[in-house]
Amino acid sequence: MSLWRYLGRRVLLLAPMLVGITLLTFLLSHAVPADPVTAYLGPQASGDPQVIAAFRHRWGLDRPLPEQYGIYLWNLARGDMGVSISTRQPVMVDLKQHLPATIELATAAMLVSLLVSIPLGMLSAVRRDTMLDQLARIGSLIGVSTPIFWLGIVAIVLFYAYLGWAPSPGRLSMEIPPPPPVTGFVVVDAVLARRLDVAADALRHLALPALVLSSYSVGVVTRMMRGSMLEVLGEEYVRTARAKGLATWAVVVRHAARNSLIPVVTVIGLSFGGLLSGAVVTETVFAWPGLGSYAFHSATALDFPAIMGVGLVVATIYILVNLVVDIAYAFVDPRIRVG
Amino acid sequence: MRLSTPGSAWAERRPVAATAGAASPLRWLPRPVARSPLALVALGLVAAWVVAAFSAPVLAPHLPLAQDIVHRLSPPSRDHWLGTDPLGRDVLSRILYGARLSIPVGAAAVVLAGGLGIALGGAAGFMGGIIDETIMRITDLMLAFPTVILAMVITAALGAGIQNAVLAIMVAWWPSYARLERGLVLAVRQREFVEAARVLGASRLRIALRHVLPATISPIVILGTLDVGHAILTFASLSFLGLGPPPQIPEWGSMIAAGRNYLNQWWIATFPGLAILSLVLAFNVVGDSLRDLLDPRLRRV
Amino acid sequence: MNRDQGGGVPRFNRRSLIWLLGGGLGYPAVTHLLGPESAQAAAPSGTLLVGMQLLMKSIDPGRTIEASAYMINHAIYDSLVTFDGEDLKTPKPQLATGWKASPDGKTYTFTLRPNVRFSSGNPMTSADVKWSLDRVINLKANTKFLIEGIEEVLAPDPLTVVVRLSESKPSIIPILSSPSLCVVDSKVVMENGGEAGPDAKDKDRAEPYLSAHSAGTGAYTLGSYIPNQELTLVKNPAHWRGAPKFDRIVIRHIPEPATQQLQIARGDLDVATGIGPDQAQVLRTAPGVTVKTSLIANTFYVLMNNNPQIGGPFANPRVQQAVRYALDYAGIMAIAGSGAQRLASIIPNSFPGSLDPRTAVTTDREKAKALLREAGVGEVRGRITYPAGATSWGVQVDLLVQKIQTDLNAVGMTVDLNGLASLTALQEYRDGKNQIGVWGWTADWPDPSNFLVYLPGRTVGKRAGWPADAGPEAAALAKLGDQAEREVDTPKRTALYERVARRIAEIGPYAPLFQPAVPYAIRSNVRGATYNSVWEVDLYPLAKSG
Repeated sequence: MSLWRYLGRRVLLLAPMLVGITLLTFLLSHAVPADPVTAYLGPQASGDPQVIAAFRHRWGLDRPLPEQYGIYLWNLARGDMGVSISTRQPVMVDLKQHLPATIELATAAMLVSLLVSIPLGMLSAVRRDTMLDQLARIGSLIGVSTPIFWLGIVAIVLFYAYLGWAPSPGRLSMEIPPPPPVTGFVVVDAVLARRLDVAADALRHLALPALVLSSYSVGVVTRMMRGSMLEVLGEEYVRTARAKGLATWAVVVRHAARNSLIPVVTVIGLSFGGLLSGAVVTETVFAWPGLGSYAFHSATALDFPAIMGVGLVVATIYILVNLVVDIAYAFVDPRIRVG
Repeated sequence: MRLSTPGSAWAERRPVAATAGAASPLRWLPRPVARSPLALVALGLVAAWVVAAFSAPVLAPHLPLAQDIVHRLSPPSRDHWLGTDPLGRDVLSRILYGARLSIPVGAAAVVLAGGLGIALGGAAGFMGGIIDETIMRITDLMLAFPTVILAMVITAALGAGIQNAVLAIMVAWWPSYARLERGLVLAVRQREFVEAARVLGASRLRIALRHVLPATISPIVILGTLDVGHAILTFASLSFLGLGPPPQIPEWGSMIAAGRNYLNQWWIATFPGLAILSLVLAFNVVGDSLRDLLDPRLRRV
Repeated sequence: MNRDQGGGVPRFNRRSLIWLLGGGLGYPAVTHLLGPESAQAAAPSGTLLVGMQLLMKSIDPGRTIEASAYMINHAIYDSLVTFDGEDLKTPKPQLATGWKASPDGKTYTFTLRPNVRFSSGNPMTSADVKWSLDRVINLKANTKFLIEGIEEVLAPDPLTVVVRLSESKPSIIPILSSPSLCVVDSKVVMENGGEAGPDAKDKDRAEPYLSAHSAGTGAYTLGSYIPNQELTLVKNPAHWRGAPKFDRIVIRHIPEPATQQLQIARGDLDVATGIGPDQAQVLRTAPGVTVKTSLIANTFYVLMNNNPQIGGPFANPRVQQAVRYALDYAGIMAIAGSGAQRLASIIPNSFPGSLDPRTAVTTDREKAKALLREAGVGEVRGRITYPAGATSWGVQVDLLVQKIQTDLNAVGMTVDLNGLASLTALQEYRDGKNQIGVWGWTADWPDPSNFLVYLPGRTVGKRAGWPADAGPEAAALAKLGDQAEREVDTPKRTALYERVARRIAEIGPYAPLFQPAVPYAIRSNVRGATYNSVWEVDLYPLAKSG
């Protein structure tokens, strides 16, 4: 089918999918045996039925479950995601505070992996079985086998505590007042506010967590790039071009590179999910106030509105990224038919 | 499983060196594995860990739960080769016992996810129609959630523990196996031997089970093997976040979490991490070789 | 195959070397290029950097009772009375310059300090005091237990406040030191949705305002607050005690003790309040860091359920006694950390009414086994429920629980560990369904009356399946507790509390463990730091020397 029909169909499916996600998270978060109400109130208050009743009424927890869900959907349709029980702020505000941090981290990690993996993978394939190739292959294998949370801890101890090369965990040094939040990306906001020293501080804080988070995708994408490149290099037309006397690099750039990027696009999309998963532990280890640590905190605190908000946002991003990847895939490789 | 391979790829290689002679144990291994020193080392490492897991009760110098409060937080020494943890338990023993948990859990998670995926994906591919649509929509939905976040919500809802963590991984991973299986089933359905069976009057179920399914299993098994390492990593991550077994049970992820409060006593967090790294690396290398061996077409994945 | 190479021999050429080294050197090069080390770069000298665990849900004084919120609110708001530094025995005047009790102990009259202004400029009068207290009374939020017993608050003239109680309750004075019962700027809060009338619990909407702005008379005002992340306080130059020493205080949420330890050692923090005893041990030898400890008004104890249906064998008094003798207190104190004190009863040593720790139960495994045989309940199996991963006043509950399990196993009692998510564990405890639990009770206000909760029929007693009508002994003890609570004469009070404590130690289903001493760290150039269990570090007197 044509690209537009495919696109249209995917977008139409978006709404029911998101409703499905809200149902899924609602059911899961309410399946817990504990009643969060008494936990939020503290030990003395939870013996007092008046206090409990007032709290439940305030947060709409005294209504039957289907009604709670219905109210949630109704508000959602008007753009209101409810108020977080553990921060007492609207979930929208929480998400606005936390999401950009994760996007900043994930983007930096993705940039690192692309800048490192694509050339490394290509070089590795072209100089197959050389020392570089062996090292790249072992390196990527280690990258996909290393637990990110452990790597983060080791990195902090080594680069912060012992060597002092990295700054303390967090997005900015504490004594520097954050720039006025325009985009939520501290680096960008600092540049917009013409505070280049703040931008530099933010970049220094971003470096180590981004590197740690990227370890897995560097491994995956390098291997992918190498494999894909090897395939292409083995193809008839490439061998013909080289037999005709074209220099290796010319062949590589003009023919092989573009074709071998095709599956890499897919892998980028796939590794995005891995980045979001990895972000949870990375943010926990590096005290990065992003969506991952917000998700963890809400899940363990049984903060229903927050859990559902996070679920929606994460799912939406993920679906959109997949859609973009599918479309890019279709454009890059005209042989592929979408759907 | 086929061990023979199509000719051209291997024929170009040089013959096996004379050292792998008739009496060498290496001749039992497939040629590419025997040739690659890395694969051999990895295989050896996996074997070593499996042996260590089995014989932990014999190998471990101390009991994993034995607390020696007087010697808590002590660095590696003659008595405790890898030091002691905050309760004075021997780190080396806990690492060995931890293998008894990580390896079976990794395998179990993959087998369960794969099994469920094969069942549902196969059903979708074979029966088509509304069953196919429904299952595919569900997989779409579930694939929209990154694994760890889905696992977190499940374990927060059902409580922490080994079974729930494995369940969470299974729930998060079956969709990708299902999609793969469905694609394979759709491809195989068109093949001649299936047509032949149908013409000969075999029932649909018989066709499904005896002809279609076996043809689709091998790629899944290969990918499953590659996934065992990843399953071990994911389980360790969940334990690290506190969503796995209780803290006294030796598990590498929770040992690292405990070590996080004792950064000056580096041995508490470092060694379990190295254990995870070595085990997962070994599995990945073995998985790679297996894939290269059995289906070079899959090398792209 | 790479044509250039010919044979299959790997060649380590210059290009690969450059790639390798470039990767290795790139990282430090990049970070060095981006700027000098922040650790040495001086913070603007008017800023104090504090690392703590910001665990509160709200900083609206009427809706929060968490210690971390109290530390913040104590700097932003003032109450009628206060305590000086770490002395929790003698209430001192704050917004009230003096107070008098009526002979029957039911009416207290407070004289207010004149010429005090809120940060908004509005003058502080008795109307604000009445409004603030009324709000807490009518919100019926988790702060409700603090105002139990207050019948009415009157403001006969702008500098006088009268508090009428339903019964004699001398502990009302230390209770009034709580930051939850602080005086807020009633005009400003009313303008922003605040309600103090009888329907406050439905109508009050001031929480969002109070989470972003402050309305108090304190030394600092609230600059910004991102929940679970960071909070800034800004100097209030017109504070009635004189302006504080810092222009800004930045408080960051750093949940891991080890991270706080690393940061204060490197100079990235000036104050770290969330470290544990093991981190304190490391910091004691770190240059430029001073470690102090403060005894906390908290009891760590083992709870056993008296209800036979829930407690099983652990409802048997001999088994309970056996548990008390089985525990290895030396090992437990090692986990509690240096400065912690063994407790003979459930009243902490810092309060009148506590018993001498030297009279506490000592480990006697043989006696424990003998008691078990006497009890004749056969095999003793149980399970300890506790919040997994939780740290309380620096003590890691996981470690404590595992130690206790081992100790009980050593005398033949098999217990397994049921570590649940904090909320789930708390739930079970509050529902009274713990068979065995390990918990801590922190004083909500600095007075031994707060520890009467262990009595039969009161909060903790109920959770341990010990109702007031459990038997004649329990009933007598409950009456004794009521008597102690009402006694106005101080020496008589102390004697009564001692009797109560001794009785609970004899027949209560508890094994008191220790009173924790919280370590906290400050950079050596920080002066005036004190810590108590109500509001942790008092931010007002802090200053930097040099």
